[in-house]
Amino acid sequence: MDEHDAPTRTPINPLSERILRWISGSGRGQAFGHLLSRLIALPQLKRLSAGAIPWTPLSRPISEATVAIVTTSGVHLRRDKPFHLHSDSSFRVIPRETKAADLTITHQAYDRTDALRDINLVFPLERLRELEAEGVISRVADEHFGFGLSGSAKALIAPGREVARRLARAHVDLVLLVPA
Amino acid sequence: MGLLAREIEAAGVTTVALALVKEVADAARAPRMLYLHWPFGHALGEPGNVAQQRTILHDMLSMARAASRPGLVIELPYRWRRETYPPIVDWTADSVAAVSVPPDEGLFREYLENGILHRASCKDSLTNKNRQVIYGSSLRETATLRYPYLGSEHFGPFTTNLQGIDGRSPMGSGLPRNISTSAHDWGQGLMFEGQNCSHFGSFTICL
Repeated sequence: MDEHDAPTRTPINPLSERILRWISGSGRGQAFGHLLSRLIALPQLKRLSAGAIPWTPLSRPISEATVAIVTTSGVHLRRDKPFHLHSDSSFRVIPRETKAADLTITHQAYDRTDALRDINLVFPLERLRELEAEGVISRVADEHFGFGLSGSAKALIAPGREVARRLARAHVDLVLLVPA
Repeated sequence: MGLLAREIEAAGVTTVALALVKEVADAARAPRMLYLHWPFGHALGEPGNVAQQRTILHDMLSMARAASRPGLVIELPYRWRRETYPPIVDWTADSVAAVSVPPDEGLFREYLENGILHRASCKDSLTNKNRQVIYGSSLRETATLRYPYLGSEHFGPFTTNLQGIDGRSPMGSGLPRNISTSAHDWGQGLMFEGQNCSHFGSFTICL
């Protein structure tokens, strides 16, 4: 993959960049990252995820299913407005034919070095298109969705509902959710 | 992630989510969740490792089709870089790593019918507590039994054990002496002196 095929890198604070590389690249860093993730996400999740878990079994075989990706890793089209780095609950639409070079990642809570080398690590659209060509799945959906770093889980509910509506309207059968 | 999965599922679309933090995977209460003990920003693996990425996609598709109830969190057994990812031969067959089977169903029933199954109490080497385990082996040595993984919700972590079909181990150990508390050690028992052990379907599950 040459330079032109790669997604662009949205610059973030160089100090954050170094901390994130430590978090992704070392055992202690990972433990620290997990601790942070637990501290920030767990209380919010516990509050918001009470109640019955919704359940929609797959209505057709995988080989007849339309599949979409939703990622929370800050992936969006280069020409779209970048996510706000500190907290942004909005989403960006990524069309099915998008090439890696048309994408960028705006997120300041993980080391994006590898994901920028191969966007499939956080947004496996190319892999999904291969599965479509091989007939494993029926169709790759026309629209996929990228979310950025959201500090508030509650603020995600409304845009999440909007994305859910759009996916249902597009007759998507299966959504694969990929985290940062 | 879990919240988004719940909203999408509630709108009538099947979801499978990945998670990289165990506690978050459990607390999110997503309809179907696969947990990987991998670094942030690497949910599908390493850059350029297509086989690894396809393995995870196969696991996700398998779980979409086969998960038996809402809220299941399955821990995938792959160790980060110390794993080889064979190409997926048959995409219509479920990935055993990603499909959870309650004790009296599916794969487990196969073990009951075709293999010997034992229930026993043994000591966990890490916590020093007694735990209930199910251990056994399948008469049929098939590649699909490579991941004798039956879902963390029901069984907790497990370790493989080289147990012969007559109930005695060909490798000299009777009951599993070493119960791992990490599912990532799942494959250790399958190698013996650098060679794959023929008792491929042997397994131990901690209850």
